Amino acid sequence: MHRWKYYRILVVVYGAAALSFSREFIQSPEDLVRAQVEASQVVAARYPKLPQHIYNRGLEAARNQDYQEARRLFEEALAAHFYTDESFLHTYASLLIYLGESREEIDRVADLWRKHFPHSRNPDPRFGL
Amino acid sequence: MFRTGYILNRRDDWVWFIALPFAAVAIGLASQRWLSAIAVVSFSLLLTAPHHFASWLRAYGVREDLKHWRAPLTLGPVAIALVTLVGITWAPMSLLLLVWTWDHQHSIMQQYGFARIYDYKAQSGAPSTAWFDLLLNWILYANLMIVSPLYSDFWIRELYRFGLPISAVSIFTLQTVSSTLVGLFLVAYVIHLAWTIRHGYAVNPTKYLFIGASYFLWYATAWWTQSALVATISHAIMHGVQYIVIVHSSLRRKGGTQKSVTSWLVQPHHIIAFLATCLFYSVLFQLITNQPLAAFGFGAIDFATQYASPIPELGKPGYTLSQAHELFAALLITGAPLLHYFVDSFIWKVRDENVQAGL
Repeated sequence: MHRWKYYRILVVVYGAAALSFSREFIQSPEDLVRAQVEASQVVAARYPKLPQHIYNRGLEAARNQDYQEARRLFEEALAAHFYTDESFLHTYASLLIYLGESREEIDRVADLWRKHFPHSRNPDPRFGL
Repeated sequence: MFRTGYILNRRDDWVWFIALPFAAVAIGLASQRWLSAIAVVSFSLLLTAPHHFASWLRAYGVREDLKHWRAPLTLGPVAIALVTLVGITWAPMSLLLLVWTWDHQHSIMQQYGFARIYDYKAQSGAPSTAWFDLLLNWILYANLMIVSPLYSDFWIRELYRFGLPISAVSIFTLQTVSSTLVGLFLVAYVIHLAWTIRHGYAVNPTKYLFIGASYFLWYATAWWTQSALVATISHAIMHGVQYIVIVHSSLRRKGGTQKSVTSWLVQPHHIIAFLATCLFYSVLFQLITNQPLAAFGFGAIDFATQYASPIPELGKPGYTLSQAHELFAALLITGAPLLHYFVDSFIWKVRDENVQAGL
């Protein structure tokens, strides 16, 4: 093997990194947020049944103060074993507290958050109940 | 027409290269059902980090190889450290994209590499087979990325970030084209296989069982489960274990006569020491990166969880992570002397014949 061939992949990596890094460096945070929002809408339109997008729709409903719809969508995401996003379980527990649900119902979701993210630095949403 | 060859031997290949992907999917599904999300980290610590260690051992642990690849093995870490540092400082999202892309390319090339070893061992395939196998791996894997709901989210977001918006209809069209290309290529692959046989080249069926098992894992976890947790755990098991197995086997065959720590570690009767060293590397890595050792426990052992529930009536917010560590430290500080007292209560009894033998 020719000696330079060892470095081929590093040349490709450096080339790709130079392009991508410079693009990110000059991109304004506002443009980045706008791009992510637009991308989320397109991905959600393509895959409406993915748990992540059901959760996103729940967040949107909560932002529009439709809390019962948000709760329904969060429950749907939970039924699909969507345990890999800490913010989901934490937000859902907080929503249940806001809605004044029973302690058992709040504990069910908050305990799931604790179980799946035991090293979380977020405060327990139940504190202060 | 058919000539079977194995990477290790018939039994071990069936265990590590053909059955393992199916077992990995089962373990991934079981983890989703019964374990906490922390299991992703646990599997990473128990398999991914050790497979990195195996890589260091393979690259830096054999004197003659170290001498042979001295320049890339010296310059490589410097170049990687530089690009990582720049990425972390100025372009973290792009660094993530770089890691993501290289990780997938690396996964393709590992399975392609094993396929090549199968043909090498069986002396099978035509000269063009390597090229067709490479294309097969790239096309199947690229299709997985483009079409599966689990992975397409990432590249669609990246397209938007690069100012290349794509509509939902265009995504669907692109995915249809990708699937069609896969179908056409598979037909071309089968035709090439028939051509290979007709021209008197042998075919190694074990290679195809291996490729089939690997892609079963990737496609099943991306489509069937659509769970990042199941996909990550299953992939970590297949990729990590197969890599460790090939490194162990390769070093054992290569360095059987050498007198070095590496060749000692890979001796068949030192397998426990080899695995323990891999584990020790993970523990060291976890400690250096200041991450909790409880992450090794699949979420089953964790003071922060077990004592975390707040007691509002007492104004107690539950254990924080640092308080949990303090509790763990207290357990060690107090527990170690207690264990010392216990063992000393019987290991020095002079009336015991076992003790007398050492006096």
